[in-house]
Amino acid sequence: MVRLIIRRILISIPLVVVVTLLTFLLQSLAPGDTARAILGESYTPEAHAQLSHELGLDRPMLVQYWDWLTHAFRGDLGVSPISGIDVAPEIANRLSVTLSLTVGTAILAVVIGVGLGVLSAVRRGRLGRAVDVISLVGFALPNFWLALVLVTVFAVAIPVLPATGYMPLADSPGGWLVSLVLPVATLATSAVAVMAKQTRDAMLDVLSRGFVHSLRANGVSETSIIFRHGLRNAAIPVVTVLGLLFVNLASGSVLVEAVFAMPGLGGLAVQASTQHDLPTVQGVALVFTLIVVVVNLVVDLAYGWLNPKVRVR
Amino acid sequence: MAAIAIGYLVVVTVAAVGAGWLAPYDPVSTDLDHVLSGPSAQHLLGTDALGRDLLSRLMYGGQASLAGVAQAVVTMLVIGIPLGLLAGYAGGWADRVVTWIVDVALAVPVIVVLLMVLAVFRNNQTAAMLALGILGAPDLARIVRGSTLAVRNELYISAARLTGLTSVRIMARHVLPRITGPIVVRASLFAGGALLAQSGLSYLGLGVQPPAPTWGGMVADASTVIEQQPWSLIPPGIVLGLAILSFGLIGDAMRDAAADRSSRQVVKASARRSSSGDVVTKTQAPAPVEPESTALLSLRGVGIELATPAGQSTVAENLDLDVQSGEIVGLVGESGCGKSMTGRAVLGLLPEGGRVNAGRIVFEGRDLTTMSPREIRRSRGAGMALVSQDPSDSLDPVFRVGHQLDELVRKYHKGSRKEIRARGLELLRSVSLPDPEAVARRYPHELSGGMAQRVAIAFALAGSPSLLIADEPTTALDVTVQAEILDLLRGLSSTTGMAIMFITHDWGVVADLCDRAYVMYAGHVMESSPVGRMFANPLHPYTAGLLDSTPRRDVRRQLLPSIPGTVPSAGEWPTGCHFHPRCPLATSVCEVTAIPMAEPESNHHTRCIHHTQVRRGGGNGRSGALA
Amino acid sequence: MNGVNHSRSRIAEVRSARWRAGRLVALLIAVIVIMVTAGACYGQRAGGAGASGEPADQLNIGSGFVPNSLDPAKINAAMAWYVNLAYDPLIYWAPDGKLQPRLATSWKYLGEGNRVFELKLRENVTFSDGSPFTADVVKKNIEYFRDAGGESAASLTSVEAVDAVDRSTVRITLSSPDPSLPMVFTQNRLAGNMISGKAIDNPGLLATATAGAGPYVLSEDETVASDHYTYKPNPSYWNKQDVHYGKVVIKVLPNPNTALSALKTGQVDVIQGQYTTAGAAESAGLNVAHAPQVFTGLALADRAGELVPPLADVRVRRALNFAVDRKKITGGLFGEYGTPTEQIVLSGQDGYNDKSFYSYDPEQARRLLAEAGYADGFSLKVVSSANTSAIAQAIADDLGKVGVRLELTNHNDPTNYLRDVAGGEFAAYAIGFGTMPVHLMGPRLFLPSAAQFNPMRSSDPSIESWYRDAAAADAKGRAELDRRIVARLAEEAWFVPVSFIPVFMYSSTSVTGVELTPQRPASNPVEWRPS
Repeated sequence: MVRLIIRRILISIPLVVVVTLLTFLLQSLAPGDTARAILGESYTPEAHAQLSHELGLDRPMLVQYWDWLTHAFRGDLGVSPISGIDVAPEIANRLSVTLSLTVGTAILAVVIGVGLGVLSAVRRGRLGRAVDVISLVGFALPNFWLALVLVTVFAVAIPVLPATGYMPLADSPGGWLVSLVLPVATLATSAVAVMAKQTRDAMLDVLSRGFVHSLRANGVSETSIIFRHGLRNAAIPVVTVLGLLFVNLASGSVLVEAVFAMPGLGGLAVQASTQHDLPTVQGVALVFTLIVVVVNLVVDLAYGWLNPKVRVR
Repeated sequence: MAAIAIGYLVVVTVAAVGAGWLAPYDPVSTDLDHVLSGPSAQHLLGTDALGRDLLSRLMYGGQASLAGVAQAVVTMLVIGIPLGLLAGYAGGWADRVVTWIVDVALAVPVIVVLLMVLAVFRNNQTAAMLALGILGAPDLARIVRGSTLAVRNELYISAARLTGLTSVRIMARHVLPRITGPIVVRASLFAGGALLAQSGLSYLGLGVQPPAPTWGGMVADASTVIEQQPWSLIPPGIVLGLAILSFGLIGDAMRDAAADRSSRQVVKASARRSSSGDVVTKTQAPAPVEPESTALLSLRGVGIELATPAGQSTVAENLDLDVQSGEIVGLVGESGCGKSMTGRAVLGLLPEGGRVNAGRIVFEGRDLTTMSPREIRRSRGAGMALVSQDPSDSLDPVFRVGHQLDELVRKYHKGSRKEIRARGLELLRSVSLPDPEAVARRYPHELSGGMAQRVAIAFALAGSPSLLIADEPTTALDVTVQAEILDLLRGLSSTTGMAIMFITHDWGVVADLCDRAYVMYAGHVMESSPVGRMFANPLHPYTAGLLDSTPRRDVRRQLLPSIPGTVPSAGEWPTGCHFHPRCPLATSVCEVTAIPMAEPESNHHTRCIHHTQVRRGGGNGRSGALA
Repeated sequence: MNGVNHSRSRIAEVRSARWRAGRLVALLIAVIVIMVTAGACYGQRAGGAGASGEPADQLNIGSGFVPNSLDPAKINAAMAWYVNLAYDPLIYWAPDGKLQPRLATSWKYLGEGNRVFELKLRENVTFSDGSPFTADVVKKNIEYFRDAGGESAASLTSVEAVDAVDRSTVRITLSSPDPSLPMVFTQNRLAGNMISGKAIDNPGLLATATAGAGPYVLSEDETVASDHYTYKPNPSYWNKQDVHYGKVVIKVLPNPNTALSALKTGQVDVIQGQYTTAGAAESAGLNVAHAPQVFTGLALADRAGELVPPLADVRVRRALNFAVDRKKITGGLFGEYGTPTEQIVLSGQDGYNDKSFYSYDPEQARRLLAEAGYADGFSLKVVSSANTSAIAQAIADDLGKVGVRLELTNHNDPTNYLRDVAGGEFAAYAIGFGTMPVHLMGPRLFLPSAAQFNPMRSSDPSIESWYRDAAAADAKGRAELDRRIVARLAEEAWFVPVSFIPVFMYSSTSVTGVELTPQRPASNPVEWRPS
């Protein structure tokens, strides 16, 4: 187990370096630059040249990247030249928002999606078709549009929920929960759809296996067959999908955070990339990459834990 | 569904491409006297904050969306297919490099990169969609690689290689056509994602710039005037949602089509419903009323039907069958004769939509056909149990053997965890497993086939059943292991007095193990008798044919005769005797009349009117017909 | 859907599983009900707060902007609230447009020509970090503002020297005349908002914390950057009577519609409004204050024709002014709240010309274009921002009718918009510019030194000489020169102004003092009080 973790982490390091190098080089191609953005209305070519030099922006790209990388390794992501704010704590703050959103959605997707999936696998016919329809609709609704519709209905027309914003858990657990309802509902619509469909397919697959037949024939109760044997076996493919889903949620949160004005990583990504706030963009790219790496690691571990055939390795 | 989806996309495409001719208004022409009008006769979908016609903007907006999707999909295909082919076909370092690229690409935060690309290329949507295609390509490459690996080693590819075709041509001519299915599925799903990304970016105001309309931009416009005109949110959302839905539906349909292709033959065959089967059922003489049997299990006039896509289909009819306590009864026949379904009907485990549509199944004096599912379930395990064909698939792969055994034992025995485990180990010992403790700790995949089958038997014994239904339990095993399992079953039967219904197509097993045997063909019992008598003197030409096609130790180097033709599928049964098309003794009577069961000798039944002519060793009247 | 095929071999009997599944559904429904109820309770709580007039010790403000920084020297003037609460200005710009003493008790120009400016400072004032307010600190501030490159730096470019004459006197020497320093040192022009000297030594911290001599201090613990900002009373504030609340929270609500619903439900007490929601706000019974302030239209940056040669011809620029239907665009976009305009100043303001420069006359426009040799029209690239996107599109449609094709680029992000406006790639940009005294507009808008909004450094000798004269002139002389400058800008058609639009403030009945006047079209949270 420990060796598996270490191996995965070692494999991930070059991955993270390559991805961040790619984003760094891409960003360096952008027109206008950090110095220009900082100067704003007081721009003059001379001031620009001087500020570029002060910020070290006139050094070769690879030197700048190496500089960033070595600092990042020590947990120092630099200071945003636009806002003058330290990038690392800023990202940490915003990460908590994005994680609240994505983890909340993932939990909802697992509870409701798996529930619906099992239900429709066990009771096919009309309910199965209903789950099919739900998952198609959930898949098809663009989340930014759905978000606007939810805001219009629940925050503008029948104002029972806050339309926008975020309340940290530490400040007010109730406020935190309430501020998450609409954005999580938005993201969860498609996530539940995906989970329900995958669970249903996996359950149907498992329930058609020979051992289920044997268990039934030997008198094992239907409850145990579905919830112990069925769900446990179906969990193996479902966990893989859940990993992919979580990575997608991180991307999807960009638009949802924009609509709900949540101070999360997505909003930071949009703002920083359009403002040429290089340290912030790099930090965000790093964190997104790390999320992928960590999720993959967790999926691998869960996969090994669920599937004894893999565990032995 | 898929047709509707394609139709919708065609309509959208036509509307977008032909917007110049079809749209009622110029999409950027403002009409400040009529801003934010709802739907009206002049403006079917209303107008926006600048008085522009929403319908026209939707139509023109499709251009940017569809062009973006096309750019992303084409980029993905152009890069992904060659990469995947290269990795799958060439293997070696190419494979390793491509696999590594795939790993990197999967870790790239797509949305961040898209935002950066838009910053670099000044809101150039084409650049963003190309980037999206590039980021999507490795995933396609992975799929293509997998499919290519599967195809690469097929014979005709090797043949093509031998004829001197270049690798490129082989890939283009022979490999590519075989793997289009997964590619199309992937492309369609990706197109949906690309559309979502394109509209999401245009919603953020990145990409195509106003006043040019985009679907995402229209949603953004609508969001600023929610207070004044909430309606304007609806049309772009619906059009966009349906388009994404359509791509998804098409992808799903393609995948289903690919999955169905393999099983198409079967489905087709069973979909065709024969009317002759019905006729036979109707002309069937009613089952003779017999005195209450004292047998452990007794089937009388049982009919079984299953659900097929084309409707209900009968797989067995008019079955009479008895198993006495402690008796080992064989149920013999070729595949598809209804043996297994008979076993499942007894267990009350017919597939969904299947049911016993006639007759009675009496077990331990109670009629299973009138019992509730709950009562039947209670009778399973304790009353009867199952050992199935494939030991590797008869145990739950994710739980340890001991754990699963505990669950079964706990159903029948109260007691502490320790007592339960002890009883489980006892069961494992009773099936002659050498080290029960070690076996209990193992997972099913860590067991050999023979051990797994012993464990499966131990599972079945957990409830001390009086009847064990063994559905070809030795077919998947080595010959030596087969013999051990048969010995075990025989021993268990004699020590516990458990009856066994042994479903098989192997006469050797029948001879070895069974007291009596039933021969089934196309849903009918053709013959039944004690085993010795059946071997010595079969009274049905089908039995004789089967026996003749079994290798015998005493006659060497002789071509085994076989019965011409194949078993008809359920629903395609012929009229009269179901065996008549393959029967050397068949006469015109056999083709028309349902043949009743006869008992020419005591305890020896046959469904053949020509039973007197039946001889073994190809002596069935028309000699040599079976050679 | 492999499962469907496999499922054919599945079993019909699932009654107990159904029961189990039913229980699962019940559980799910329970969870959803709890969440919705929690939401409803929250809504009621929030709604009730507004109606019942929550204990007056908390003020909730909704702001459309995420502050780019909390540093007064760097923050955008549109986001002044974040600064107003924590920093007191040298001079207070009152709602009636008058200038009142605040941290400065008096001020005046010394001698003739508006070249030397002296401020007398209030004594015994300390900053929230405990450091004293002295002439040295003021000197440090003015130099910091001048060099920090923020929005107020442009007003301080002529500051040559700042001298602390004594502990409570500061003298500023200018390299060129500037009559507007009193205005520059008010709360809304930012440079007057005095920062603690200690904090200026460590300016990095000012981005996320406050260090002023104002009524409140930012409470960092109760602040989530980009979402909400909490201010607590400054215990060492010198002017306690201006502290009306025990806590002030500014909540970021970028979407005008959701901001309005937050106000309606009492989640916030005051928000900035805009014309798209003004009608809804009035019909909801909220206090709606508005005053015209922002002129919007096109700025024809490339007046020398470097990028688009036709623009060098004044006839062409005038043609564009004749081609837009100001009345119709104003009515369609802004309804009753907009005022059509051909000048960059408001009626009643210094510099206003009481005459019409352009009527809506597309024929005249075509004629002028033909005279200039562009009968077939031409195209030009225009960049717009979120706030000016709609008007740019409306103008584009009108200009299209006389053959001038606008190629629009829109940036929702203000930074990108500003970058492209100044970048010299766009011949014109859509402008929304809060009008101000002509003297202040010079270095920001129309003088060659206005790097941001005069990116091609257009220059006009008469404008520059009148501007110089006005700077040194007395009030009366300045008014006449300003009028000439505005007229010249209109006749030379440097801009295509279309409408004046108001700034809006909406407030609930629990708050008073939220007002806007033509004399001061900006409201200051420090003035808001419980009703």
